[in-house]
Amino acid sequence: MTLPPAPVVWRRLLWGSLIAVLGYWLLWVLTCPVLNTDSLTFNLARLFVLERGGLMHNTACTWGRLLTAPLAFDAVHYPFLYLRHAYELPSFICFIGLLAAAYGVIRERFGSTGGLLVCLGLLGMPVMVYQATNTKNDLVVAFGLMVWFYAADRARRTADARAARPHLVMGALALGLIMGSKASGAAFGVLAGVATFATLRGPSRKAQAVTFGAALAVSVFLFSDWEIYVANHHRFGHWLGEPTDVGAHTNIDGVRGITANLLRYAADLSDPFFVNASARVSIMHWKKDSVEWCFQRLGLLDAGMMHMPWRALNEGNFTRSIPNIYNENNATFGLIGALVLWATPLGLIWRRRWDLTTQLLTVAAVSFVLVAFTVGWSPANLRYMVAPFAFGWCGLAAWLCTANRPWLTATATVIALVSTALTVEFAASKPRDQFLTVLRSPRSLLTKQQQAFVPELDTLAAEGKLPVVLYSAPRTDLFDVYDRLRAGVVVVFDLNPDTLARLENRFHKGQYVVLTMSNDVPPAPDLRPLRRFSGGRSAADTGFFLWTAVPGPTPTR
Amino acid sequence: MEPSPHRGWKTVARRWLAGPDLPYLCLLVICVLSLISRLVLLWR
Repeated sequence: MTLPPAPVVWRRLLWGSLIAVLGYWLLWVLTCPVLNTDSLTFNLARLFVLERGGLMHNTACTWGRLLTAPLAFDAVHYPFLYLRHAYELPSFICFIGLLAAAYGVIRERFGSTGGLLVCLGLLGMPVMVYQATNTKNDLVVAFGLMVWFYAADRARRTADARAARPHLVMGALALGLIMGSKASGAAFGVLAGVATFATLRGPSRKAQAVTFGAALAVSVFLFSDWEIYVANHHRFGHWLGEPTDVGAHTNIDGVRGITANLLRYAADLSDPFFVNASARVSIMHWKKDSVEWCFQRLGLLDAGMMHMPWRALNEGNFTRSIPNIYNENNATFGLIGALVLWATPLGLIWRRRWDLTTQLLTVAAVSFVLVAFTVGWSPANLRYMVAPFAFGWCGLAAWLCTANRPWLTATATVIALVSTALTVEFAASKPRDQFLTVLRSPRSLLTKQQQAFVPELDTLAAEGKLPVVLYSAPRTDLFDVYDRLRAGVVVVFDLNPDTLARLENRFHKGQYVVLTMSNDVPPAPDLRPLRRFSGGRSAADTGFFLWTAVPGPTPTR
Repeated sequence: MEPSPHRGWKTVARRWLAGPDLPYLCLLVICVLSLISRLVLLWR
């Protein structure tokens, strides 16, 4: 049912807003340096480490997770390490693909008015925009699932079996990509694959199943990173990696955990967004008190949490430490997210038809519950929810369009438009008032720690003090070290006289700068401190030390 | 009404947004970059 076309002025306003806001975020993407902690310590840092020794016999790996997580999307950034610009472009390409797929699905039924509503709503969710403009691997899962849905939808509506083939192949390709991009994507991919086989209909069902099955097999072989999963199983006996690390990230409390997590997400994501700052803080405190009251009565305190060694979490972390700041870790999905959160279960209960709306809401609900069930809760975990909320918003928009009441879609479009503007206004990690400064000098956006550390690395290189001996660098900002020093980094795991003698044989230098990046500096004799930059937040977190090592003759014992 | 030649870019843009091209094109770009980079990084 195509909605009546909106007035030309209104359509132009919506298209103009969409293109202007996308252009604004694209400029951020093209200029912004890598700032995301996970990318600095892991997602992008691991590319330098893998470049040195591959997967199987890597001798440069200073932290197990650099080798154990699926790589398909992280690897996309590899050319950008040499381009040294636009690191966030792959995520933005995924976002454009997500918008186009969502637009295509909705436009086919409800015309361009419905399609525009969906695109503006997706741009009006802060977490969605943050994931579109950083280097993490969460948005690619939403993108892959949306392309799969789009492709499956097109294949279903194509009468000619031959014409449906390309869509089935593209759907299979999307599933292979998400399986290799993120461990939670593997679960989504398996479920989506089964759902595709189960929903094939018509006389050519068997031929379509063969096409999809063959394409999926090839796609899984090429993109699912099976080699990393197999290597993990070989090394640790667990396909996701070191069992203690896997356990720290998952919900280990079963039904208690999922109940607690659903309550936390429900409270956390019910964000009024449009109210002023002080009202938002008051509402956040009220939500925290209400959830704690529920948890105490239900015996759910601290159930379902992540247990990361470097950041102990408890119920006290439920209220965001800096409420009302929409940065990469603290942002919600805004008012659109709150509407999606409550409309999704309502729609599934109320509606009795298996139409596009119900299909989209079902994908949203299943993926939401799957994340809440498998992933342990942490304040920075809302990024895992981009797929549920992308589908939830598309489902809600389809529902509104089905109602065929122009005032309803117009109201939703205004809410989406205002949300889009507020997302630009509230974005603390990409502050609007610093936009022009960042365009002129991207480094001005570096974190305080990076601003102290990166110039020191540049100075070392300029003074000819390379190679720098990297010693003791667990979960830490390896990206900047490799990015600034490149081949001038030598990784060692032991600083005994034999190691220093080997360095001397190789580089013929009498003095070395040794970089340690942990507060727990392992004992190493004959090192004297050169400079200390800053202390870390915890024993295993980033702290910077520079030492000078003077190799001497190996002592005889 | 046939689109005038002066509005050609709009027609192309709309076709890309409305048709299957853009989501699939984005997917192919990401997949090709991923495949080549992984071949270089992992199998050495």
